[in-house]
Amino acid sequence: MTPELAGLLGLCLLLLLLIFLRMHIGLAMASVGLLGLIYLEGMRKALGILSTTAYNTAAYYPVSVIPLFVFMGTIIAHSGLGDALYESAYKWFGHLKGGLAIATIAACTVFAALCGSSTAETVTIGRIALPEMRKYNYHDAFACGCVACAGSLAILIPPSIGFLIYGILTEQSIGLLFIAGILPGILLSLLFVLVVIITAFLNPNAAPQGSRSSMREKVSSLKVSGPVLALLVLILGGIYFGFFTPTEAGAVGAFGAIVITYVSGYMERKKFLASLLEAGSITAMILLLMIGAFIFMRFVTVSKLAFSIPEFIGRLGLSPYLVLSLIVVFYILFGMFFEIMSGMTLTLPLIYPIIVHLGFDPIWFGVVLVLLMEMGLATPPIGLNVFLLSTVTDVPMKTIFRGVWPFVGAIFVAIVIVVAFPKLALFLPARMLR
Amino acid sequence: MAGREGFSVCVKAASKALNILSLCALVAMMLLTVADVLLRYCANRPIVGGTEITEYMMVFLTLGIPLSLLAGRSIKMELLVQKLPKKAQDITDTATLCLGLFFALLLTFQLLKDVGNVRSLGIVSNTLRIPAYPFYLVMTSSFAVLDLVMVLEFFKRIRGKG
Repeated sequence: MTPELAGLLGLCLLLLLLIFLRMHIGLAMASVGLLGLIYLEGMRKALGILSTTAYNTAAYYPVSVIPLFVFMGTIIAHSGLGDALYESAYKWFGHLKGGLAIATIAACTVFAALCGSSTAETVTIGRIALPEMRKYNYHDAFACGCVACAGSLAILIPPSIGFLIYGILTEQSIGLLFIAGILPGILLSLLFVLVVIITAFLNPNAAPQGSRSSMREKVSSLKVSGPVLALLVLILGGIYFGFFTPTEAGAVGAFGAIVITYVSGYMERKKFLASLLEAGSITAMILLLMIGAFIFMRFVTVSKLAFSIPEFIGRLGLSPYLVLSLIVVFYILFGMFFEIMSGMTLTLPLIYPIIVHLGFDPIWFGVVLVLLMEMGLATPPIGLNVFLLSTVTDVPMKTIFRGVWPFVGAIFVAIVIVVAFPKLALFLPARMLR
Repeated sequence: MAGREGFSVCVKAASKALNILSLCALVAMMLLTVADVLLRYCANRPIVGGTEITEYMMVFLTLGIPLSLLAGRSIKMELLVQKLPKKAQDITDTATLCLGLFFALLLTFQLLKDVGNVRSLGIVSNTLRIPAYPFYLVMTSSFAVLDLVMVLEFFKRIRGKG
């Protein structure tokens, strides 16, 4: 390792230190990126790169997909449509053994196809599903564990914030990533259902049956969820068949969500303003993060770290799958401390070149990475979804962490399946490209 | 004291005003894109230069950054610092705030320089020939107010109200 490389890696360590010192992650990346550029290129040139990168990131067309999908998600979350989705799922599945948990997973799966934020999904569905599950004496640990993990489906099932950020940072097609997430998303939902069925079989008291609904009630419950399903088919179908770019799909999705919620009586002026304010705030946060990430990436490119590290790993002569396994273990540990946006922006500038160098498919890796980060949302010590649920429900985090393990196990099984059978993620994108 | 309060009120008002502009841009961007899709499929007449208008509108979305930071909505890692004594937390928070402010000031200064450069070079968009410099100015305003938000935060910290 050359002294220059060591110095540059030192700067990366400085970045980690700043982040552990609670600095805003976007500002930390930008500051370290700037310091690195000054070190390599001198003050004058570094400042030129700084402003150009910041402006070009904000005015980069693919980034426009983020605010539009975020807006769509906040409209759905604020409107109360989540209630209707859960109600509908409950009518269809509630009477089964563990039916309320299955209904929760079904509602989360559909909600995930409309809202890319796992925190919004966990809070929205958790607020409705948990009182219902408590009414039927579900164990708190199991019920909360189910919501915390099913809530994380939002970042896997498109439109997903995880894929948006991965696609922008690695310049991969967001449309392909969205489509690649569909089958693994369905697989994971089914694995969650399997966990519920096994739990209900082994310990019927943990997940009893709910009340049975008539066929008439079931059909009438689709009155609101029907148009919602139609909207998600329009968005994903539009991307899959090439009718829309992801940005256009985001705009159509947000507009469609406003129309559906307004017509079905779920949207009021106050709720609309709240969703708009939240979308603006989240977008601003992500934009600052993106600006920081792109400045840091410029530094990584100029420093040639993006080439030196993969070359260094290549010279070690390790098997690609061993390196991949190490990366997977790294992300499992990393995901315990960082949520998806910061986790991806921090690590991708250095990890992504290694993945490409080893010859792995970038779209497939995007899916694996999102699954890994999804696991981190429910694992100690931070587990953002667990923390949120604990705040909303007053159930201690310790209790929820006890309930998440079977579902975390399901996520791990999904990761193993996607790693062993990459076609599961790549089958639909390959057909889309034909 | 009254000066500091006045400064705080002004910074908050400026952040809120910029945020309203950014929200308007978000709604306009959605409507423009939907109109573009509808016109393309229904009338076979897509909006000319729709992509570059969207790119310019994206610049307006940065105007929401100051309010987002002012409201404490930021992505950061709390776990380790929380274990430190309060005084140590204050010191590290102030130090990282100063570094962030240093970066933001440099960026504002450089963006302001770019406004002049882009204007004198006559840089315009490819299709509609819209001048780019006003949008550099928009982004400069966003970061200028962000600087003020950070200065306000700095004052709060040294007065122990952070």
